[in-house]
Amino acid sequence: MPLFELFRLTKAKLESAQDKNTSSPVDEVMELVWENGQISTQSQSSRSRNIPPPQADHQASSSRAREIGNSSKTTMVDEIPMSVPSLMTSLSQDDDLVPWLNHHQSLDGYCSDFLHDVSPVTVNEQESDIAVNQTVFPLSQRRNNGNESAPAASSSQYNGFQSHSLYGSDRDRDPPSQQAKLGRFTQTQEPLTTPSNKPGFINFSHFLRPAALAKTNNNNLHGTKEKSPQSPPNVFQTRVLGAKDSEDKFLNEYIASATPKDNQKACLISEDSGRKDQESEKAVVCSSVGSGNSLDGPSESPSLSLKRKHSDIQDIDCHSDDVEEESGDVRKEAAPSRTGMGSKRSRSAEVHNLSERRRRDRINEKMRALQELIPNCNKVDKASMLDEAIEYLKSLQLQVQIMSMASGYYMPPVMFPPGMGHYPAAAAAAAMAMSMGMPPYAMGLPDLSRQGSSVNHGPQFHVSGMQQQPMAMAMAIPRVSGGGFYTGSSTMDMNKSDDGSTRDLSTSKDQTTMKNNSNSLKPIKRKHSSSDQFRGSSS
Amino acid sequence: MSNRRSRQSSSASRISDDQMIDLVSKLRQLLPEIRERRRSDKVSASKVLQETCNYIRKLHREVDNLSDRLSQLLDSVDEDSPEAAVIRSLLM
Repeated sequence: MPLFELFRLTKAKLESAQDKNTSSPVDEVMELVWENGQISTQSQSSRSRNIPPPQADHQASSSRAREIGNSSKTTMVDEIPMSVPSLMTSLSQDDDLVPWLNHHQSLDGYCSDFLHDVSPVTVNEQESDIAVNQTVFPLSQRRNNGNESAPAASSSQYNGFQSHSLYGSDRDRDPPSQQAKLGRFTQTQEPLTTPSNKPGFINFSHFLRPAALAKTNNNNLHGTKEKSPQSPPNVFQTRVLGAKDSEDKFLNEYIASATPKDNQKACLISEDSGRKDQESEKAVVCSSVGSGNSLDGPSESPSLSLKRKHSDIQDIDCHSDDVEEESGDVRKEAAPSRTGMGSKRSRSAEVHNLSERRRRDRINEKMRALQELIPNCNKVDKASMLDEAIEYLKSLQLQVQIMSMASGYYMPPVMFPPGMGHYPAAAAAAAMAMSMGMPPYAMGLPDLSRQGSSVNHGPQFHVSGMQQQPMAMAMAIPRVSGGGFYTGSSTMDMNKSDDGSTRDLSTSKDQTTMKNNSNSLKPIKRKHSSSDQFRGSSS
Repeated sequence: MSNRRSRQSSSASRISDDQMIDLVSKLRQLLPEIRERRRSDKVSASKVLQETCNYIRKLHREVDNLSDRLSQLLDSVDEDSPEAAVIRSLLM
């Protein structure tokens, strides 16, 4: 409600401002002030009367209390004028806006949401920051932003302005800049709406363009193709609030001109516009979600929305899960149709559907969790995502296997002091066993290693290079862990089944089958035997 | 209209059902824990997915541990030795 009122007031102010070219801002500010909770404007006075005073009062008081908490009505009024000039500067003449506003009752909740989303974007574009900042205002009614920290301001106006600006936008709140804005506003100030309308008004000022656009949409519906304010914020141009018919037109028109972020919003909103108001509200939420994700994938949602223009709103922010949801909805819809026929059967079918739905939800949830685990997974399709999960899992297993091998290979020589004689072999073998036992998964899948050659895994190539190296390295590094090295090489050969004795393979396999049997003697003994063989060769 | 809807849903679910079965079976082969379960036929998809998530997290932890160890090894080894090169290649 307040939105419309505020818009009207703004409009009225616009006209009044245009007429006047204010020179005495203060006077003008006080003009439109609060007259019994209603704004009296020079023109279109009839419309301004519609503002419900009590509601406005309530809103004003609540918003005030929330934001500033100590400003008087006049200050509120003073704050409003700030937004007006911005409005005026940005707006072009839209005579039809008001009637449009009058009959789009749902804009109230609808606008605040997407205005909130829009505000950060439009902030950059608009010259007047205040209007942008104030767009978030209506959100206060809903979201009760705790963001407002009313900074110590020199004037009450400034204070109020800051509170507005703090609302959701990320503009810098530097006092000097704001004061400059203030100065600007004082120059162009115009008597604004009543304090009651302030929240809505502030919100509205930013909203005006989309309203204009929506209005344009309506006009288009009627056959006339008007392009309402194409001035700076293309953001709002993309907000098509018209009927479904003009959806395509506007989408095509404005998406081309809008920024990626706007595209998302436009697409999302245009989708909504075709629906009912409640749906549009939902869509706004979705759009807010989409805009929130805009930074990540701007191109995705527009294409999605374009493709699914006439599909369910739920498809907007859900990806492949929508398929199952849709099918679930379809089945659910089909179930009631059958209730008339066989109540028993339909009931069981409903129950079945419900359980099916729950199961599917669980699966979807797990899929999403899995998707998060997999790096760089941008797949929308379930099947492809599962494919990628499988590949990733295999590569992870291989990686762990290789790394464990490498650590086991290189660990023993470092750990054991040189010149230990027989000890190194046993100790190294023990170390090897320990390191081998550590990653049971990696070692427990020897078949993976066979596939390893086909997998394009970076370390693999190096490891294969290591195969030739171990012997050389073992020879290069004197004494110490000669035994350990050899055992390491044996294990390495085990995993690279290309070469290496089968005996090594068997020994390693036995070792791996004994999970976490790091201290068992059996493998050590076998290692010992193999290491003896190697030792003989090295020396 | 209902035919279209059912066809759409069924077509979508048909594709995903077959693929789901196939993929779930593949995943099950990869998961060592599930493989050891006796009633391997009745493992549900959600269970498999859950196990996969857990397994991946476990592997991540393993990789982290191993990289820590390898980095420690790298510090202890001479910079110019071939071992260092190998370890570095593994870590990166």
